[in-house]
Amino acid sequence: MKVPCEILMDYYMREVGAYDHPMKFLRPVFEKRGFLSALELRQKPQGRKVRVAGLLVMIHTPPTRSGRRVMFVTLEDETGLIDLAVFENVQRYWAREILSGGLLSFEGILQKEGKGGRSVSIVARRLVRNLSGPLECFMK
Amino acid sequence: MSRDRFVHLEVESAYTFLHGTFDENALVEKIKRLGQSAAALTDRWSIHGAVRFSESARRNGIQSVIGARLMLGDGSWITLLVKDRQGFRNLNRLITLGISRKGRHYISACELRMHATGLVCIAAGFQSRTRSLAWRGDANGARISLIPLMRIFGDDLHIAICSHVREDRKANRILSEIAAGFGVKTVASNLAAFLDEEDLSLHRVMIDIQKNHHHRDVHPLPNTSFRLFSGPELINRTGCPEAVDTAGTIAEKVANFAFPLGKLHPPLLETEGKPDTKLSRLALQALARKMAPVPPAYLIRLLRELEVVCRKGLSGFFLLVKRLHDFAEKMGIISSIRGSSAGSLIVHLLLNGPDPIRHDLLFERFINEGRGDMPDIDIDFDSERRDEVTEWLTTFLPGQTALVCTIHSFKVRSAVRLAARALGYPLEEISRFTECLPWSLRGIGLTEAMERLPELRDSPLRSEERLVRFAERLEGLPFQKSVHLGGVIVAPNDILCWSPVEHTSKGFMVSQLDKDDVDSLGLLKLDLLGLRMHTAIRKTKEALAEKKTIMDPGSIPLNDPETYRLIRSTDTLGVFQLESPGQRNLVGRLAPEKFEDIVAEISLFRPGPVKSDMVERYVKRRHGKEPVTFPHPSLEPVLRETYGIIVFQEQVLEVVHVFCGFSYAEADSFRRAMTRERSVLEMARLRNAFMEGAKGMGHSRKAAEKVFERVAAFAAYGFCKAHAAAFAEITLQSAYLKTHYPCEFYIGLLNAGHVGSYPPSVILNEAKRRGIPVYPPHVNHSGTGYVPEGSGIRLPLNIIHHIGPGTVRRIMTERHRNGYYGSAEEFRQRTSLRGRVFAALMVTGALPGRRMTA
Repeated sequence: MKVPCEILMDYYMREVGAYDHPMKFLRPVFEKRGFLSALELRQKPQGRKVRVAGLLVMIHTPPTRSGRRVMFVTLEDETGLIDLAVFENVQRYWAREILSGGLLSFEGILQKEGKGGRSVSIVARRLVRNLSGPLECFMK
Repeated sequence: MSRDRFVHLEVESAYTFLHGTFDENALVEKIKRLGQSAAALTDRWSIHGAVRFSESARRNGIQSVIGARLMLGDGSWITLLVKDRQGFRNLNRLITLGISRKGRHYISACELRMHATGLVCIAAGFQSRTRSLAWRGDANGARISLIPLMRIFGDDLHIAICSHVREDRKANRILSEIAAGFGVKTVASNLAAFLDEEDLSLHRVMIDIQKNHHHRDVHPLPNTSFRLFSGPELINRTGCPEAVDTAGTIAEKVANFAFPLGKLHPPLLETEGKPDTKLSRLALQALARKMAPVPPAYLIRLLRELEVVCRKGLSGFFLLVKRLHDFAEKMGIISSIRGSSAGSLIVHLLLNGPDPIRHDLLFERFINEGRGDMPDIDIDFDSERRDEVTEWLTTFLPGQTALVCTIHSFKVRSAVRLAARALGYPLEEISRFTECLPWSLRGIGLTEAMERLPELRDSPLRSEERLVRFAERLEGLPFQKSVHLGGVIVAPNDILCWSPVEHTSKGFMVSQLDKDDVDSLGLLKLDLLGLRMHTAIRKTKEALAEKKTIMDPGSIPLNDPETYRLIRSTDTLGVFQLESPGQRNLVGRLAPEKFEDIVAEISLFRPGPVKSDMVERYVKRRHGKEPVTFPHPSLEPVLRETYGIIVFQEQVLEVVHVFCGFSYAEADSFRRAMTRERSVLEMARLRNAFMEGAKGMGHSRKAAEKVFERVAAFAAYGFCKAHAAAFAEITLQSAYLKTHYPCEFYIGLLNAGHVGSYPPSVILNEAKRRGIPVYPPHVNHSGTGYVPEGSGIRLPLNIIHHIGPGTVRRIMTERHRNGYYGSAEEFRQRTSLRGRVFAALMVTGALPGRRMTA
């Protein structure tokens, strides 16, 4: 796959991007493997098993009632933000990859709440792959 | 255990940063275990730990002796102990003089002479010229070196007898003879920088951190004798029982000084005429201006608030804040009120807080007859212009004000990094140690964290026992000081009566008191905080002005349907208080339709409610999926707006007021007691008071128990409604701007620095998704900030690596002087920019005539 030079300019010369989101160029690869975009998630029904991928924006680990750690992970693809909840059963195997990741892909169950399913999130079942390493090698 | 008469008078704690190995609580615990009745805290050039040490000592029945260690011009350290208030002021003045010297801190003999009243001096201890001379057997030299101190302090000079190194035995003999000759007493005083022998290794690590991290030329203490001793141990080491006894005598001599803890010390402010009359006049005038005719409810409320404020002697304080606010308004600095003060009609009228009657806010949550502490009026200012307000205040009350300081403690990550560097690990290895290590472990130790956190399962730290041990000892210890985000102390008199001060890089005076010290001393602290969202709103306004659109943030409607539609869509990235993933999720579930819904959303999105099932129940009841019930029919008017659930702290006050007949002052005291950590005994006392009150109001025991259980469950989670209402106004302002002026709003966010949770790239990606063109940086169009261009956003030049603000200014100056650059070559000739700067501009397509192609 050929990565347009705008992407290289954006992500290696600047802190912000003027051109397209890198996920746009990776989308054909992910699409073949059944990954959905943030926009497509809004069209899918509650409870469906989904796969998503995106650049890691933030990880929030607020205090919880049970004392167990929940990681609230936000990814970004070319169509929007994707919010995931990662519980201890997933952290047990992939916490290190998630915390040190840049481009991550997850499989999980779609949660839709509120009128018309406005609040969309995913309860992660597993980390499909931490693609940061291969991506960086590829870009270099 | 029998009382040990010995008192440690020279003690350097962890507030002598990266030197002492213990905090104030550990010191007090150790003193108790040694059976001693008093101890001093004498950190180098600092009283940072003094107030909390006094509090801890008082709680444990130990006498606290306050002092500090200062260096003289000849490099000798002396210890000064405070005898009285005058002495404390003098100590603060001497510290201030010493630390204001650039380079090496010291005080001259002349300065010491001028400010010696009320101080006891211990000289000739470790690290003094006198002792060095005595070590060498130069008795005459040692005697001469003490003459200036003898003249200054007279009977208040004491010569230290210590036992740190072998030569001290000889030196003690010589110094005892000199003391006898002068007619002054000797005092046994081993300098203490650690509690026990084994802490020497931690001290050495701390010194190595100073060397590696701060590049200081410092040396560790030479042996384990710099620890705390019992009296008999010290008699054994020094052979001077009378000198050990003198330490106790000195502690008695200075016993008169204690911090005035638990009393209020409001500033005395000069006003023209009586402050009460002036405040009342201003408030009534403002009410008349705002409403004509004045509704009786407002007038009655205002008179009630004025009565309480005047009776508590707070009019001067309100007038000071009003003057501060007037200054900000005159200078065009955007500000807003936060905190419980937003529940006051006086604050609404004079400082533009939310309307407490319209939003049903309670004044008594802010001020009531039962509260003995100073009320807070916290104001948020445009963060880029906050310093102008601080400067005005410090100029308005010269010598009475200083910024509050903050003590930073070691967090686990910094402790591992710095200890590893001190122990000589290479940087790559240190990075491996700290990879995936959180900044804070929320109360668990590093060893436990390595067991519990899966990301640390294979951490190389696991095989580094020594490093982990040091990091665990460092975690929580004071590390360095800095300036509090916005706290300014307004003292009733000279600030030096309360703390030493030093200049910050911005030219402000900063005290050595942190926010807890200020509260303990009952001083007035004004929180002049910076809010980046205000900066973002101002910059949005400026971006709109470039397009000839005039927008006044104060006139933004709070009931705009399109704004609520945007909020309900969860498309709230950049919207104040509603942009985090959790908040976006909650607004989608709540589907806000009016101002009160936003107030509830802000109050519900807190760790307490989120941890409990409060949010879930609130959402279900709001959407009719669970019946709305009330703990008691009489509480329906209080809890109707929140579907029978206690969401606000004000509702706890109202429930207790209505159901138990408590006054608001009693109800607020009850609420605060319920919010704190409670013992079983304390809980039983609160329950009994509640039951008695309910019985008095004619309620059955069963009903009272049901209501109490509800109040007990939710009291700790309640959020201040007045604060939420004040924030909700800013939320709606930012959401309105995003709805109606998205391009300019994104520019405002991007130019205001780090406003919320998201990096600039995410904000720009959203802008692009909304169809707003984003143009790359270009030498002919870009500057130092994001600017509107047509319907899009032009990126600044300084986001390109290697291009700093200085280079951008150079490019812009030349462009303004001689017009656009025609080609890359012309650009090079006109700006003389070469090398990697030119290459960076070239490769990113920022030069004319060069367009990137895929």
